[in-house]
Amino acid sequence: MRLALDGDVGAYKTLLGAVAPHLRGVVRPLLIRSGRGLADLEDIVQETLLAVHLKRATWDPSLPFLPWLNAVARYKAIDALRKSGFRQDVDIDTMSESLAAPDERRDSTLDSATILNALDAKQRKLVEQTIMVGRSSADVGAELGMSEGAVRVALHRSLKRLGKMFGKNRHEN
Amino acid sequence: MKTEKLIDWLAEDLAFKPPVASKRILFWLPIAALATGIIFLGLVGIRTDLTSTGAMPTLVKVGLGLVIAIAAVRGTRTLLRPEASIAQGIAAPFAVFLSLSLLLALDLASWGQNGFLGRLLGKSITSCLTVIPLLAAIPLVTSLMALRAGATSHPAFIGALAGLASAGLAIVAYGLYCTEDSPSFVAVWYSLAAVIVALVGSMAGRRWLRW
Repeated sequence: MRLALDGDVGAYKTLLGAVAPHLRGVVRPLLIRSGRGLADLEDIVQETLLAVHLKRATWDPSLPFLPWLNAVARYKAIDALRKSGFRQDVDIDTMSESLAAPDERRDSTLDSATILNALDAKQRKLVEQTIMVGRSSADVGAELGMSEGAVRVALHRSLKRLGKMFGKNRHEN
Repeated sequence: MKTEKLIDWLAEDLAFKPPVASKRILFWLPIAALATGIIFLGLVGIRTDLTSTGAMPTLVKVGLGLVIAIAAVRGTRTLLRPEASIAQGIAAPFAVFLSLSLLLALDLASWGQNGFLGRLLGKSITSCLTVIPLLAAIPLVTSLMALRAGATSHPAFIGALAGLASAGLAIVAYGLYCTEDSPSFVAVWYSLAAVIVALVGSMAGRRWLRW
């Protein structure tokens, strides 16, 4: 995380890649204890990853990272449970299904097309090309006639938009 | 969406530096409080006996306000970290309580029980309870906006602390104007004004400081 905060993209990806399974471990028991299936697990994990990213400045590098990370995960998981209501009447079939088939998909219920559709035209193009296709943001930005700063802002806004979508999606479920 | 895709997306955004709430509040709250205080004192004027008989009581009020504000700002800076517990942000309420008891003790020690009720009730309760919250309003909104960049696990509590911090600085400004000098009056009504702002802050925090 220290490296990542200095702007080391490789270190950041490695870190988030290791954080994701850890978050599954933190969130899964919370979901099970609340009497819900694990259908939302990856959504909450992704929402927490996004929060880790957006709130990374609240981690004090002089303090240990793990308590901070777990606190973010707990906050997001509890928030998710609260928003969608603590369901007591769990359908045992869905429960055993989700228990039997552990979350192999590593995929949220929000699909990429839905996400892209919610972005404005420039953001959509930018995210589609850089994230989904994997081109460099500088190239795509140049193609769209955007400055480096404008690309940065658009990408950032797209993530904030995504955060709102996570909240809404849960509301409707 | 696959989680690896999200991670790519986040990594792409690494160059965008997020705002740092702990710095924002240190910067914006004093500016908002100073601006409000200057306007207020420009309108009503500083008490005229500031350098003579009013010096000591004013010092007490300013001191009270600063103690509350500093303790409360420290509390918000701690609590905006998600792993911080409410216990770690408790210094400010404690500071209010302690100053309140000290002032009551000072009052009784200086003048005894005779006329205590008169000193306690004073003549300007209404002004104290309306002007201090009004002076704290803009600083409170400003500090809540600064704290939105934080990630507190206790939105209502940190909102209350932002309220106390704003009220503390409002007390500094009001203390330079108000001529109601008995320590017991200051202890009870200034603190009550601060508590009112803290309550408003906690309600606003519950609403605005979720993330």
